[in-house]
Amino acid sequence: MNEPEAIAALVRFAETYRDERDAALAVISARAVLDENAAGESVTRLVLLLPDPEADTWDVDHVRDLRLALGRLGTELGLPPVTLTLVPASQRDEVDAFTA
Amino acid sequence: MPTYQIDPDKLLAAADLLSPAQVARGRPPYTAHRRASSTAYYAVFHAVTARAVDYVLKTAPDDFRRRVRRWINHADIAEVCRWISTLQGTGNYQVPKHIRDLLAPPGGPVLIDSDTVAIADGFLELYEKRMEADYDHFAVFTRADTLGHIALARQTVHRVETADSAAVQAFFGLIAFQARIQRR
Repeated sequence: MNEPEAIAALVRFAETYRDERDAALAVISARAVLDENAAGESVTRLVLLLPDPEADTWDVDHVRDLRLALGRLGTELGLPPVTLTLVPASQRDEVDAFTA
Repeated sequence: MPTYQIDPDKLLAAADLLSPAQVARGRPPYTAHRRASSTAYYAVFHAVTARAVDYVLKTAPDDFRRRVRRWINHADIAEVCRWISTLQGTGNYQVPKHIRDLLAPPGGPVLIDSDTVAIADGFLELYEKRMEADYDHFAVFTRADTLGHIALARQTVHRVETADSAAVQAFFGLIAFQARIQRR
């Protein structure tokens, strides 16, 4: 599997992710890109569009489960470590990833 | 006499001020979100350096320990966290064989528990977010995501300061040895 295919598989998985405990962690849409961080290390940047959280933010433990699940799949696919950016649906229009 | 030491709880309070949970009108600018996420990371960083040094120099005077804390750099901690991540299947970093044999010996008990996984995950995610906040002009920091970084930092600091299993002790011991005395 080449990198574009691996990225596509990760995005597909993300977009089917549903946390049965938490309606706010049902991914609406996902975008992923391979990039490098300020230290020159490769990373997989995954931007997730989520329902607005009920409180000020999403549940820390539930987000960790999501991040670890994505990290596990990313590792299996041979991708660099996954880092998340979470966007609430109400701010969709402010994020280029979902408007371009 | 005032003290100027760096306190993780005060850094978290500063992050709260930069990105308050309740805002009456409008919202803080994205630049404040960046500073909040970066500050939240530093709360975790300084909690880890305190715990690692306290672990190996338990009875040394406070000033002695504060000086030694400065020897621990970000990469020292990230390296140990990356070993944990890779051995848990959530990262693909290089893990030296002797470290792999130490933390996950063939046929032996694995010296990684849920607390070390959570601390390593929290540190690595915030380490990356701090680099984005400080250097990446393309990074996006929504208010809800920023508050999530602060919540993650708060939970990670609490774990760093309270978790005390054998696996957690080994984790902080390895961080202290990563920052071994070198010519400076």
